[in-house]
Amino acid sequence: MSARGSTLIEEIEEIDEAAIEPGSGRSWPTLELLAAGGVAALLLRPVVVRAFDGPAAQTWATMFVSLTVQALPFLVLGVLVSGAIAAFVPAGSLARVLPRRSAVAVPVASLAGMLVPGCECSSVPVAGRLVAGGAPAPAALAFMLAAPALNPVVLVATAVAFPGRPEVVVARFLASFLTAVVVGLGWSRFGRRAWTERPITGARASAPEAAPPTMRRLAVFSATARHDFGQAGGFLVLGAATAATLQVAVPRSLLDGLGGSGIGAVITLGLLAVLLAVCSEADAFVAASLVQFSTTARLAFMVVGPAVDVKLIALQAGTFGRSFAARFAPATFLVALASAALVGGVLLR
Amino acid sequence: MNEEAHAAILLALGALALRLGLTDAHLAYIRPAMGPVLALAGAVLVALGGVVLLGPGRATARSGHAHDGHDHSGASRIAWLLVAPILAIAVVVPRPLGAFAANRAAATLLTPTRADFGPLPAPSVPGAPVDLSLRDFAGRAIYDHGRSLQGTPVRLVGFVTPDARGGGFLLTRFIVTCCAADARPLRVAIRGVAEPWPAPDTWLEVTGIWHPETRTAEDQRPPVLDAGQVRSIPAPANPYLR
Repeated sequence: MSARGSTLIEEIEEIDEAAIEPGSGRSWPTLELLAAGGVAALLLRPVVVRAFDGPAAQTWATMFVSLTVQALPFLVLGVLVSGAIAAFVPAGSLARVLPRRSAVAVPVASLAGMLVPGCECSSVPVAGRLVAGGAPAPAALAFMLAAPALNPVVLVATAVAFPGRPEVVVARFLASFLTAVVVGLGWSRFGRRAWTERPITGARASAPEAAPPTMRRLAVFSATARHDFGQAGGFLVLGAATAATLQVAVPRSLLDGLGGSGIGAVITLGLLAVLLAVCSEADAFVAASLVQFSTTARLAFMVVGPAVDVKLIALQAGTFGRSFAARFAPATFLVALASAALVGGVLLR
Repeated sequence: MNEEAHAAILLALGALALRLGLTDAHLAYIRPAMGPVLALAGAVLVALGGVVLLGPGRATARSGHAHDGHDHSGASRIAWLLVAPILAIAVVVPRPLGAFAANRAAATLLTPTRADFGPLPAPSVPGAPVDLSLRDFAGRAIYDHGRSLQGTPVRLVGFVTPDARGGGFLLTRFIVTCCAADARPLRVAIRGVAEPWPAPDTWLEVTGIWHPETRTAEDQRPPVLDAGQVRSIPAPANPYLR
């Protein structure tokens, strides 16, 4: 809290509040606790190392660290952008800039996603901050779905993974664009404001009121970035742990017996994309290696992955709340599957 | 979580990311090009955390300690989970993916990234075997039908995984595009080595000649190398191929 900026009366009120709500005002020496934990971890290191020495635990730990470390720079980029939005974009201006009608705003926001060479991990906190800053939710969500799937890096990676088959790149672009637009428009038709409203209890800046505006803005910027990193990062860890567990528990050799081309194959690879949580720059290469499946099924893998997977569901739950994620993830999954089946059926015969 | 503890976690995670990115340690987890980017992200986290712990607001944050328990600042409880990667990176230090992960991966072959395989590169010393990456060898064997490999001794590097079909073992290497979660194993069957075969996860340098065989387009068997010389080597700094 901003102890420096608050008056004596506020301080007293704070203490009273703490006294009334049992537990909430507990003074936790958390920094000391962390230090003690660090010492304990070092002392117990041989035990921990032995516990993770088995091949399955070791593989899990490698996957977990890889997923976290891979996402970290993108998440940092995302929270820097979200901090900048909170500090430097005047409240309400986003709503004024964007076209008022969803039918226009959603496709425009989806195309804007093309320009952001991020991955799914940066687009989620940015979308959260856009909604908190007053941007219409359907457009922000369309942006969130489009940015990781439509950016040039991903499209080039797809072209490299499917050499001599430019129609796969076109199909991926169209199916992902369709998914973003349909989900965005669907949200403007059926979505309720309450589902996205919880976002982001503001992080308080600890600069004194009397400080110059630039200092205050910088303080808001860094406090927002820290807060959003803690929030999104915690859920990212949860998602990475889940994906690592599924990677180890569900061996891909299970797929050897599967394969084929019908709608069953499309659903199988759609579900696989949700479970594996491969990042959007790499999913084309994984899809290309799943040769026993039809090209349309592999397209579904590439369309579903950047839109909904276990890591993203966790991130979205952390940014927008659980009641949002519980509705958004299944709806997006179905729309992405249908888009892939439709576009694949037309283009990838 | 109070702001100081939150900042300390960011600082620790940032410092570890900085170290991973600046040393070869990140090669076990992510592609080499991401190392500097990871270091940069680590530096940003160090700055975001450090400004709270060492910055001008520190004294008052400390004095406000007594009633700072509920979340006026810092982050919600979920941020405690960030301790998990800190412990994993600093204490467990997971090794690169090996035979266990390779055995559980699908048995599919890689699709080619190019269609025209030129002649083999020249050996480093005239008369010595040609050093080929496992990827180049498998690509030539499968999609070039071995034309450029015929009869030429080559030297491959990879780790040992068991071959369920018997008769030898597999020399394996992972292809990683972004991070270890998207790793796809690439395998070459090694034949002509007397038992006992080396233990799984042993890194080897194998010299041999491609074993000619006819393949169908749907063939998922790995290509075969008739091995001459097998030498145990230390694991390479970058365990994965791109």
